[in-house]
Amino acid sequence: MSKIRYLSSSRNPQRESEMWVDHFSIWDGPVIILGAGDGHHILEWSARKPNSDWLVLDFFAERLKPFANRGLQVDPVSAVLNCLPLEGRLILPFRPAWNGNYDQFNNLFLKLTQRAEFHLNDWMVEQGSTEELKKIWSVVRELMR
Amino acid sequence: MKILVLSLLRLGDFYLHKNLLPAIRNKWPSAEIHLLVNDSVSGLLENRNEFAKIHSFPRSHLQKILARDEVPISMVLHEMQIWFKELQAESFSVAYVLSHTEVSARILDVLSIPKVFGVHYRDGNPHLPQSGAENFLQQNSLKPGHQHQLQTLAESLGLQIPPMKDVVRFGEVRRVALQTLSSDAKKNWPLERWTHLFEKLRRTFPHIDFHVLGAPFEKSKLEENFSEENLHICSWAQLEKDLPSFDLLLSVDTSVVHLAAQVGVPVIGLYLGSADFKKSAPYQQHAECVAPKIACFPCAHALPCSQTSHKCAEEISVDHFFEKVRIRIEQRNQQRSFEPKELQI
Repeated sequence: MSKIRYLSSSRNPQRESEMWVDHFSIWDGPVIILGAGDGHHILEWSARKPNSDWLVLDFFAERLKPFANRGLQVDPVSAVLNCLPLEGRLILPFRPAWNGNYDQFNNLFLKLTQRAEFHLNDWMVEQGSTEELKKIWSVVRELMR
Repeated sequence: MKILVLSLLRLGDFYLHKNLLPAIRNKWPSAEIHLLVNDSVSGLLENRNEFAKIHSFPRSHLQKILARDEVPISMVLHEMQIWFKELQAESFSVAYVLSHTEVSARILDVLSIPKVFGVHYRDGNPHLPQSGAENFLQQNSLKPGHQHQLQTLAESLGLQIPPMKDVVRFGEVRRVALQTLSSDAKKNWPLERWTHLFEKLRRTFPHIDFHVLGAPFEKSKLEENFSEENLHICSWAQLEKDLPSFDLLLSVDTSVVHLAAQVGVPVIGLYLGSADFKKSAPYQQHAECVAPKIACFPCAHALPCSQTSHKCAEEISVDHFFEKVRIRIEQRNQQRSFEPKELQI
């Protein structure tokens, strides 16, 4: 018998999505919501932040269809990673939606946030001015200790 | 020519570091002196004419956003790139590092200022160019009789040691301030003991006005132990104006102690927890530091108390602290009033 994997709270997805939006509601800038799940959090975000610049990324295109039909900005990862300006956006992880594909989603999350050193090094190389960025990173890293 | 002075610690450290400013001015009389402080400090230092410009390092802001893992590091680095560009545009010729922290040393690596006094990095390599700097960094504690840490810092920067402020106050003690709270719970003495001390002082010296100092956000906590009429609640800017009107300050280790030293108010400091009077005593002659004599004192700044109870606070009794204050007040009250000869009749 296959195990049932929930992509949001099985008990109260609405409450879960409200708490999720509460946690990230301090941000007003452009965001990426990472993980479509069953979409409660997306609808809550779009209702609470109607004028914000946001998009949803998910590895599974079929999970995005219901929201695309509503005219919301949603994209499968493979289609957008190399064509959208992702930089300058906060990456809001909806981790319940990562269920069953946690590593895949988490790797993407670390790549987009550069929260893993090797992703950060890659990003600095892409930027060109590596030496200056390395020096600035050494200041920032001290503040993270 | 422009000089950047880095004081990237807390407000109290800034007031301590301010003692070095005249020596820097003496050495570079025609220079334009800029100050770099943390954002938690810069907001409290508006309208200063001793600096051409005060620059704010967004430390609190950065720590707040870096704690949120949804914020890409690239976003923070871009923000810092812009911040550094603005600072680099000032084209500083000389820098003085008063804070001697890893952060200030790393900031100087990015700024690449030609002449730096103090510990800094240059292209990722640490530099201790002045003799004495190593001593300063290794000076974890002073033995009794050794010099104040500010004096060691001055030596390490090749600066003339500033004279220690001499508090000359004459006449009877009429107003005494009590600073009972610090931002670090380890440095605090129980408010019940402060209340007990306050009442005992008032009974013993009924002619003296005793006031408990506090910031607006501390008011409700203080009101649980003191009546509103005995509180002196005000902003930092207001305290700078009001503090000189007091004849004595009794305080835990806070920035108020260093402000008092600057404006010439005698201090009796209560040093508990990580408050190491050998490092952070007020730069003032005759300042008294009351501290516990227990093995764990002073403890490490960043670590929680290792004891089952706050032993260092328990070690200092109300009677012990009261005696220090009583002696100080009575000594002052026995001094003759200051009467300049030319005014004598």
